[in-house]
Amino acid sequence: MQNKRGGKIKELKFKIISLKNKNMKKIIIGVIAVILIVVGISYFGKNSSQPSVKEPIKIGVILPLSGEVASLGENAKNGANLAHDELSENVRQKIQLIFEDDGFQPKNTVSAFNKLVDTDGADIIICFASWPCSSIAPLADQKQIPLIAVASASVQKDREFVIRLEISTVEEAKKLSRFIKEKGYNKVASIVAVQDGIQAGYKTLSSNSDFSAKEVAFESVNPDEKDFRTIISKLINKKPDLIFVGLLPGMAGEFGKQARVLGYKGDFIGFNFVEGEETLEAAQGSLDGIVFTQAADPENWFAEKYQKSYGKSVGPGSAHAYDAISLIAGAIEKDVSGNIGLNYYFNHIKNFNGALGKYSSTDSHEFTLPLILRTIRENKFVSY
Amino acid sequence: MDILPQLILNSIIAGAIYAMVALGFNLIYGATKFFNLTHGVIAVIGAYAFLFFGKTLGLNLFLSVFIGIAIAAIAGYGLDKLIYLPLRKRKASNMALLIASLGAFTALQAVIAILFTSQFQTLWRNYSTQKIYEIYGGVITQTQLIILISGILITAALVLSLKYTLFGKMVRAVSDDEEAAKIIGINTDKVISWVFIIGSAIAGLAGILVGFDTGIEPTMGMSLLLKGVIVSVIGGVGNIYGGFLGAFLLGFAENFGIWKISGEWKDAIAFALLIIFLLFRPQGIMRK
Repeated sequence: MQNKRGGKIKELKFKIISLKNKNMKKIIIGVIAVILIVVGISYFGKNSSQPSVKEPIKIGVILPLSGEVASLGENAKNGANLAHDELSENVRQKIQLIFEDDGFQPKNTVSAFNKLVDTDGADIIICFASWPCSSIAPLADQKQIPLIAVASASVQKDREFVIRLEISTVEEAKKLSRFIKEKGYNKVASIVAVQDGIQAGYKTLSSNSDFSAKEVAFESVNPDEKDFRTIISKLINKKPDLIFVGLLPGMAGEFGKQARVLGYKGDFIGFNFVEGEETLEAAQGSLDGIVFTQAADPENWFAEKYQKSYGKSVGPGSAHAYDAISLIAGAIEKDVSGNIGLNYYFNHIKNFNGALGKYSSTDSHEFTLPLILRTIRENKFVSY
Repeated sequence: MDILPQLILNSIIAGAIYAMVALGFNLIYGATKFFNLTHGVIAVIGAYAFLFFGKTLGLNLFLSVFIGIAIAAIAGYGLDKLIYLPLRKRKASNMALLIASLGAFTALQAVIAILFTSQFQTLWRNYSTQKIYEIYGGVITQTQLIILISGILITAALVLSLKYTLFGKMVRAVSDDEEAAKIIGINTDKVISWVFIIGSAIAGLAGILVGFDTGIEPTMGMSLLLKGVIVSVIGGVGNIYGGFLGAFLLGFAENFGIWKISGEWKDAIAFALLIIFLLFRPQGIMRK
């Protein structure tokens, strides 16, 4: 009896084990099937959903849309959008513009650069003005992101991935020094804001012997200073017949106004950063006659297009931004791709016909932009 | 133009501007015992309100100044009602009030920038129409003269009203001991509200006058505030007379300082003066 019972138990155990094995097999087969289905779907699905058009090239444009030189940022944004709108449908689809405001603060420029590159996946960056551009030039090299810098200072120096699209401070200094010599000024006083781009420009100017021989007074001020009365009193005390205004647009205008109120009768000179709506707003005519360096006037066709699109005259920065986008579009039209390919392309452009005229890139990662003198007449910026 | 008289005039003008900012700041600090950082942005609100009504809409100059001051006063009152009063009722610490005021400062500054852009702007239609006066070889403009006269008149009016009016006595009582003032039947919340209104109105006028003198931009509030705080500390926090003296001391120190050294050190001179006072005379020129 006990043997019978034991045999049944053994039989039952065997059945359970074989059932377990069968179930196990089913489970294993099921799991393998699911894995195969998932892998298959993901593999074939990926292939079938791959877009026929490549991801657009993302261009990060970092501009001072607020802060001391907000008008420059607005001009540049208009210029960039104008260039983008004019592209052929085919090329336009391949380009995506992403704007970021740095408020003309280098720390914001760095944040904007990191956001554009790391989060938005920007392939190329465009920056404006020497101070912000110099803060991200090392990052561009480090991350191998082509950077088109609309900056006068040599931010591209020793940088593989940075190319400068602006007149150079060296050329500006030469032009101003020649102007001082030709006009026969005897005593020059300088006021310079403590700001990287402006300081670099002034350093280049003061290293020119024609300028330094005539400089009788020098004053540096904080970038946000608006009360120049005591500084002006000190400068005027040296009886200069010319003052170099190394200040940002709004400050430059305020300085001119205060200098005239305090009885300064001489002339003013400056670099391209004088040009901005803020200068005219603040100067109210007091800087009429100031002579400053600037990139050549934009081509007529561009000025007309800009006027038609935005209902106002073209301002500084617009043509630079327009050309920067056009240069990138040119690369895309020629099917240049990848960071290294784009970088190589920008450094080997010859006789580019842009809104700023005809120019080429050089071995030193710069574009040879034509340089002219401009002035303010009846509180308007005009060619000298 | 002679340099010494001009330096003295420049110092007096700077001092008058600082005095006007510090006046309202001290008045509010005296009653509430916290550093109201929104005081700087209230000055900016006054200036931009004038810009809108006086320059954009083209209203009468004096009417626009009045509207600018009124809007600054309303803004100050609103901040007290919406932020500071509820916090005081919850017995919030001075640190909490300070942080709240910093938040309000940042938010209001951003709103101004959105509404009026960050661009530098001037309040004058044509600066050359203003009169220029020569005093002992130094030059002073009509605006600067108005700043100077306004600074002196407002300080005098405030001092006299605090000393001789019932409202002034209530403000002093609240400043001395808010709890004791409550016990003797003073509606301290109402008094503090009025202090905010008056202090903010003075800040609004200061903003408008500074705007006429050196232009406006949304971020100008911080530099005005910093100078106001420095002046208050070196004059004696909460002391109106001390603030007035401190303002002119700072004006002279800055302008005579940069006569001998470079202009970029102007702010450093102001902060050096602040540190010297904190180290050697923390109670300020005049103890409260």
